[in-house]
Amino acid sequence: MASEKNGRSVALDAHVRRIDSQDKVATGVLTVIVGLVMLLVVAIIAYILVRGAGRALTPGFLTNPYNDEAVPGILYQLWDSFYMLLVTLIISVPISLGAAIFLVEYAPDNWVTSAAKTAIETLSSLPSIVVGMFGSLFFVVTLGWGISILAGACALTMFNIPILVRTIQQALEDVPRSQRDAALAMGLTRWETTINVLLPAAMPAIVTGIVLSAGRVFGEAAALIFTAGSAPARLNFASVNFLSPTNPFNIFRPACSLAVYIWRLTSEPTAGSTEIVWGTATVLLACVLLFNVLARLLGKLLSRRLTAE
Amino acid sequence: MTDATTPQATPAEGSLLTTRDVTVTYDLTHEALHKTSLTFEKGQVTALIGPSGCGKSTFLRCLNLMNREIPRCSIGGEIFYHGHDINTPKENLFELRKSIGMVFQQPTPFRKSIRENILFAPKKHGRVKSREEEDELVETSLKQAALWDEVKDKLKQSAHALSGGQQQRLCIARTLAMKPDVVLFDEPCSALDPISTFAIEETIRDIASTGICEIIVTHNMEQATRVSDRTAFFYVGDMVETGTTQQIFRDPHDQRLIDYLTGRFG
Amino acid sequence: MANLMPKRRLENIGLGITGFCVALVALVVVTLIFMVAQQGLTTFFVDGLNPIDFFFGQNWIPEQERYGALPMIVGSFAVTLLSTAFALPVAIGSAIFVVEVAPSFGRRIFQPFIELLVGIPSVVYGVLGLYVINSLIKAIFGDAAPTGAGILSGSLVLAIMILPTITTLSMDALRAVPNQYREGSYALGCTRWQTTWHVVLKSALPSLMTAVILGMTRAFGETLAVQMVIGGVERSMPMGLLDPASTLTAALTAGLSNAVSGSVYYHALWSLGMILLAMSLVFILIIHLIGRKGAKANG
Repeated sequence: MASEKNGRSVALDAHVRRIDSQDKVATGVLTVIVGLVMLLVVAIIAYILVRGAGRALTPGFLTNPYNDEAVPGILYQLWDSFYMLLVTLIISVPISLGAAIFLVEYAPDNWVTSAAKTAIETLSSLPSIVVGMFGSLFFVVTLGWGISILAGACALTMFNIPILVRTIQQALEDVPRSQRDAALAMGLTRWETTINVLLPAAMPAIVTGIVLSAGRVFGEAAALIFTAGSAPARLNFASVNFLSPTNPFNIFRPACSLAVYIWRLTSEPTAGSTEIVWGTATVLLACVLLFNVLARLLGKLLSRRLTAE
Repeated sequence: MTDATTPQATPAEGSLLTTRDVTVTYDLTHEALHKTSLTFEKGQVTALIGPSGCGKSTFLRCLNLMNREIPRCSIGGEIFYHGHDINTPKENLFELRKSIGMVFQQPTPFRKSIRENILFAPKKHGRVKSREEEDELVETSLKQAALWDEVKDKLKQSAHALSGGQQQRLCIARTLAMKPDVVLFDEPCSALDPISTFAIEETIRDIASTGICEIIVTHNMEQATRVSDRTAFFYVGDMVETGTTQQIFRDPHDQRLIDYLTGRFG
Repeated sequence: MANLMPKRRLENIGLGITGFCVALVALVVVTLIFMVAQQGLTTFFVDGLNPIDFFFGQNWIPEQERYGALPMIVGSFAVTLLSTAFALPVAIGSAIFVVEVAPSFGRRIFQPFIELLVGIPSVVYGVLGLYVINSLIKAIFGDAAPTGAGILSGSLVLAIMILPTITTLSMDALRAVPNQYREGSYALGCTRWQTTWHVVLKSALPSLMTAVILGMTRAFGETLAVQMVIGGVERSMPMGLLDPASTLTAALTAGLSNAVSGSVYYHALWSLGMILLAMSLVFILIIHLIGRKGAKANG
């Protein structure tokens, strides 16, 4: 538009051309960067899935114990991963819900609240090995639980709580203020308001958050090595003695999750372990991706049901 | 509060709700409302008018102590309800708000069915015992809010499926289901179209005829003349002038009120 | 609700239950800080190690009772800074693209994509680094990198891991810039690039810095992925980016299973943990300072 005017100076025209081309170059560079990032994501995921697919799809890999002669599998590790995840969620979801409700609804405006917020923030930035180290002393030794699923789940809980508290807090805060005011103005308590009005409205976001966090917990290993152990457990699915170290449901027995198993195999390689590592990595990644998809689906489904009701 | 009036002063005999020197302070320093004294009677509609930021909504939210829900907000002065001061730390907010209802600017139906929206609070307060009582309460409340005919066949449907005006009338019905003797309206029509506004104004007049005291904040002066018996004018945190609605609009005294009515500001 | 509780009691019960949850979390954190400090300080106060020898000693050889943490400290900072340097331009660049240039593409396609990276467990990154990146480094540098393990490969793995953290937080930061700023700039005849560079990035700067610090926090504390690729050599100082090295987290992971509880070695490992803990507190402090400064700048 500048070049059409006759009175314009040559210098201005040049300037306009220059900033225009600058704009185009910048856009071009950014496009390339984004393209490369997307390529990287696809490449990483595809490489892992393809590299381990052969082993992961071998019949028996998912259903055999690790010490099977013909096809060493990951049945016990799979079980331990899911079981430990379940125990972790049973512990961490109620605590996170309570803590988030306190912070959103009750938190008095004083130093106690800000100290609690700082504590949760600290927890979220702690390296997971520090959590594992603490667990190996506090849960395993001080509380006397030994190397166990319970100690591992508690370590995972510490790792999970800040993530959960933040998502639940966000979900509750996203419910319009007017909903809360309306319920309070009818003489209801914050407790009734939260349970009956805010939580149902926030439920889709909360469920999505929980499932997403489950994906993170599922792949965590550093916090587990010294709390739940890294030696593959021997399980007996027919066992009915809940105190036996081979009973799959015993929370006081050591356990080895998929992620820890991968770590152990890479730090102490044996013949053929590379293939098992890739196979396990593929299964682990597939599980985590499934959690991701599940989280989105559940969230959508729930919010649709809420609005249609 | 250092400047509160002496405790032996008693409210006017027989009036339902009286405020004396009510002062509201946010963040300890910012005074949003200064020494406001007003009296509200049964069956009367009072309009609170004034330019935005004048303290009228702040005053309204004192009457059911909703300002207590805001952090660092303090209410000074006395608020007499049925003859006793409710502005004390000991006051049971939950009991108080059962009988002083509130309708907000935006319609705020809960994510429940129409029926459950009405029954939610009465159930939580243990007011309804049987299915028959529930049905009756739903019907009378909806009829009072002039919504019954429109929704009687879809009580089980989500309240969110209603139109904005219907949602607001549902909120009024929900408030009436608590059998309050005071209802506070915080600009109830500012989000609605003219037809819904008209319906709500009708409802407000009808409710007043049942003996309920109503207080309505509005920025719409025509609305104030249409629905209210008395009017109070607020300006920058002060209650400047009050009187019958006729007197306020026909014969205003204060220069600020005259300027406001003639459109100099606001 | 057949039996109704008085509302005030119900409210106090709610306050009690939720307050208990918060108190529990706070208590665990306090216990953690206390225990780490107690165990970590034992090294100096009971076992009698000289803190100067510990923090500046260049050799970590437990068999010879030599506990110099400098190789790990240097390793941790090196991988953190290097990985941030790798990830930063890419992260900010992509964030600018998806917020300023193609917002709907950003929301619908790019964001879920980049969130996939967050979901990948760190051991899987470790496997990828161990078998792919290390081999690549070996192939590229030949004899200069006999195993491929080292600070460079550790940083590359970390860069991929912190890329989504920095990118998504930067996207949030840019999205939070009010649209009026952009419109004001366009109305003055500025190009999109000028607007982005002079207006948007400038006003988003505090949040962008927070994004970077959070990325660094993650890099500094990342454990297994680094441990698997960096080579795990604590004995001496790393001499170059291609030398096998170690980090605080890697040394902890490797050492904790061998150390006998109560020994000097065990306490020395806790001292490493104490450094990690202190650093994450420092990172939090920096984020708070940035936040306060940003709040002040915005009035």
